[in-house]
Amino acid sequence: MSSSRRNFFQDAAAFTAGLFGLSTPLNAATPQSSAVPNEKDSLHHHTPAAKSKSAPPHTHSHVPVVTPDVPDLPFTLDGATKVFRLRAEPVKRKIAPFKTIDAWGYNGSCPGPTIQVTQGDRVRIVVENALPESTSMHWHGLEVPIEQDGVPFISQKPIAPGESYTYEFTVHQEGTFFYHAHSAMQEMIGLLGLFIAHPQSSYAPHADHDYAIVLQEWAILPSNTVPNTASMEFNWLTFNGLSAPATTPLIARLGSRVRLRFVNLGMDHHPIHLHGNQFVITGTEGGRAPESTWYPTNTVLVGVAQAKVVEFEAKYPGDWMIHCHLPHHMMNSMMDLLGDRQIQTANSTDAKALSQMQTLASHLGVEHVHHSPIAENANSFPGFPQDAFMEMAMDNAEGVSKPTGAPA
Amino acid sequence: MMGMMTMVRVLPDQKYEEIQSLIRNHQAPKPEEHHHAS
Repeated sequence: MSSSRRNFFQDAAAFTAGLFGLSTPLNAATPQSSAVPNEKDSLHHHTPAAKSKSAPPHTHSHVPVVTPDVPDLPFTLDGATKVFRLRAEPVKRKIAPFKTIDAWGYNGSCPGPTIQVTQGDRVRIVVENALPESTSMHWHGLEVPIEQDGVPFISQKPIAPGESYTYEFTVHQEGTFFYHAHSAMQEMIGLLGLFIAHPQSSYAPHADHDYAIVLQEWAILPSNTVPNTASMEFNWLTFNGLSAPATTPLIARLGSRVRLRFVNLGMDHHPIHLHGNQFVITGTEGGRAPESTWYPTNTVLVGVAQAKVVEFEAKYPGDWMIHCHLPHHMMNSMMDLLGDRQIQTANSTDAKALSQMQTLASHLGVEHVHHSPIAENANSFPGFPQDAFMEMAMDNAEGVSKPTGAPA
Repeated sequence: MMGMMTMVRVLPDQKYEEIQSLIRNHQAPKPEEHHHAS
């Protein structure tokens, strides 16, 4: 079997699995993280705090958070301290079946793997820098001692390439937090991840499903693979590092209570809308909100550097879309799924793209059209075609391959 | 639609258990056969 034919079936299987909610490794091109060095080999810029703290009581009965398409970060125990290891490194991320980018991430994942702890836990996180430039790590929203805050030249020296830094603190909060590099623009190439602190006692009412989604924007010129971190215009928009329709659906049992955690670490704010259901906003990046503040809505604005947590009862069977309602953000800056643009459904000979559209159409029970139908006399209508469906400046940009991201 | 979008798939008990079983077993449903007219 030829390589291209084999890849076609692999991609088709991955995409179909995604439709059914299987968290398949779409980013199969992502290299596996190399072994993280023994902590004894790491450079410690400070002495970790005492290890004698006893383990907190685990009286919680929460369900674990699921971050579709992003792994959890495993830990080891040193006494009662949970020890995590994060290696900042270049990562190839397949954000769509036909688009693989050169991002930076942690442990082979972009976004980085999700850290889950319980309120009261003592944690130690060893951050290894396998990047070509200095970095650091900030624990966004967590109330930590100043020397753990991760700001270069203020609370620590930058972590130089090849070096490591050990952070250690007690998590006395509960809620949806995140970690990100605090060196210039590194969030915009993917150096970020979720930090979930479960409460010692489960939230009420109990949630049966708990999902987390990281919102990101990317500026990647045609025929380039390296995001432009200085850009303020974005043409790729992702949930957990994937762009729809490649995102893995969130599976919920009819009648269950569903919690959704959204975290935004990009340049734009995102009004996230859920179809067909009302939800209440039960938390922010500061933790759980009092129930007296909850109100029904179906769109929540997730501002930059914010987390918003919503909950709803899954009363209606079906596939309910969740999307940013900024028009550009639900179309990857107008690369229309049903138009003959990036995905080339109209005139494409790209078997993968055609297969994806066929699978999606079959699943949704609609006819697979290769372009959105238009009236025969469409051109006689003022306003047709919409400016939006004409060529965008970015599409016309002459792509210059810069595989390293370095200036030509 | 593309970009910042996913779905909450709300499934009745039987279908929910079927999908969870596939997830536990790391199995993907068979890709649907592609028919393309053009």
